[in-house]
Amino acid sequence: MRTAQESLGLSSFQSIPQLTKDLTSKNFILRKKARQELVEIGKPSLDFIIELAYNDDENVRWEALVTIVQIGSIETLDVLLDALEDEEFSIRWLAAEGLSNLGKYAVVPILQKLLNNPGSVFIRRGSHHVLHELRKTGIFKDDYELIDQLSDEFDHSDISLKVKHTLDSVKNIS
Amino acid sequence: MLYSNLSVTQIPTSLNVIGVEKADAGEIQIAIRYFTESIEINPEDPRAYFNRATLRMKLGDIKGAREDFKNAEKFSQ
Repeated sequence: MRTAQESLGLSSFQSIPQLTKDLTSKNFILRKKARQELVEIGKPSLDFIIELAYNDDENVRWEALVTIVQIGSIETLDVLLDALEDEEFSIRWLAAEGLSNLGKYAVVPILQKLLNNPGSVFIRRGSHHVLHELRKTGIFKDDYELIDQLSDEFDHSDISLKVKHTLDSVKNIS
Repeated sequence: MLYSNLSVTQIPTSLNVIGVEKADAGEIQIAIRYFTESIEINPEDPRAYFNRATLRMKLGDIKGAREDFKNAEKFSQ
């Protein structure tokens, strides 16, 4: 009788819980190997990895986010949006890259996040990163010049109205 | 020497600029060399660390990228 792991085609892999545990190891080689295998497994491993993305240890959160970004699934939208507010700079950067990689699926969620947190410096920076990348690839059309306003670190004016107009415009297109 | 007409304080900025141009042109390894040289001249320039970090991520050098991100944050404060 085939195990669940074999049914998923994972017979050559270690178990997902073990790989997830290895992802928290102090041994870099072990972490790298676990990450590669988890990325290869893909979506079935996400529940385990997402849990690690909320770990107290920033090194664990970093490894989890790297793996999540490399898997690249829209199921990770929420964890990536949460990670935009991480206290650790590299994790915030990684979350923004991950959202950018999700392309059109990230546009409405990032605008919604911005609308709900218009005063958050981290969310403003992360949104700028994502929307700027998506504009470069033509996925996001910045009709209301939101990116310019987000790029000004000293601009603390309320952006809610602009975000709302942008969000309405994007929703109308899609 | 290529940068002999520049003052010491200008050199890291110029190396950064060239590095970014190389990266934009897809010459990632060469770009990394420019950023590394910039860091060697000014080890407290957060821009060079940040730029090198993003390229190291592209190349899959996750550990190196993390170290660079850490330094970028450290020296930008």
